[in-house]
Amino acid sequence: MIYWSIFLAFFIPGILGYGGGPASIPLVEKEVVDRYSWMTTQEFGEVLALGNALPGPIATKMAGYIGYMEGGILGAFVGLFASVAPSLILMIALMMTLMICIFSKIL
Amino acid sequence: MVTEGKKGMEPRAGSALKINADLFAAFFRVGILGFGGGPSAIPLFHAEAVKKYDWMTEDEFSDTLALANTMPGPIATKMAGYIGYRIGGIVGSLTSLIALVVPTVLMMILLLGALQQFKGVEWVNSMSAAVVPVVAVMLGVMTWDFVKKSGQSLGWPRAALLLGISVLLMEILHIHPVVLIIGILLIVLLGFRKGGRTA
Repeated sequence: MIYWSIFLAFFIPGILGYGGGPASIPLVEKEVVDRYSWMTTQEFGEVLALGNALPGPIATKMAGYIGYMEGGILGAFVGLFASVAPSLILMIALMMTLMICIFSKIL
Repeated sequence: MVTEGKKGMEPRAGSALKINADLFAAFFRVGILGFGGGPSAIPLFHAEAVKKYDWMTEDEFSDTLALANTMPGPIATKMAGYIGYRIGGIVGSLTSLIALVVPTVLMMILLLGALQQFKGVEWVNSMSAAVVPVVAVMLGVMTWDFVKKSGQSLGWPRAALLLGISVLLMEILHIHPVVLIIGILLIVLLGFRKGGRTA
């Protein structure tokens, strides 16, 4: 199932790439080129170069574009969700826990 | 650490529409003006969230950034999603993410789609071949940044040792980088358990 593959291809770089989006690009390349063969290294390089010429976060541009190529609009959505949601949920949960700890100390 | 926790706990009073419009405008600007990926857009986040809209104090912003940096995943979306969540709850979080991500993804799809049309035209083909060395330099610069950073934080002997081991495992033994990352995380985690609170 293509959507599940798209999810996995961007979930793994999203959850294991430390140092922000640019640092996770090699992990994305590993999934997209080596594992799923959606693109050749040459094509991946072209997409990456163009992505870098445009403004905005690079990880989401790659996830959105590759997701769109493989699975249309829903594919783009799945790719974006997989790269953004897990680490964001982690972040919100951790900040909430910190806030609660600080509050209980004050009270 | 967080000096003004109260500010963050409940979404602010005021029109929800206004809040979401502000969030959208702020992160739209960050997304459309930041070149070079998420990490280089951090000063723009600071300008919007602290200076322009006063959603956070300096201290809160640097705490949030520090915490976001300790976690995996793209940094820009973590910042936008979290700031949006604090200011406008789940809806605010979604508004911020859409404003940040969607415009540039659309630009990307449109631009590459247009380029595909000219695939096969001679100059487009040589253009895309010529772009590969540029990518190599870009990734090289990034690699060197990471080497420097790991040298500074771990000390050069340890950093060099880890670099050597990683090259050996990934390029010669062809171990998937994911396995390596999980392995290192586990080793560090267990190491801290054993040694007590060294941090």
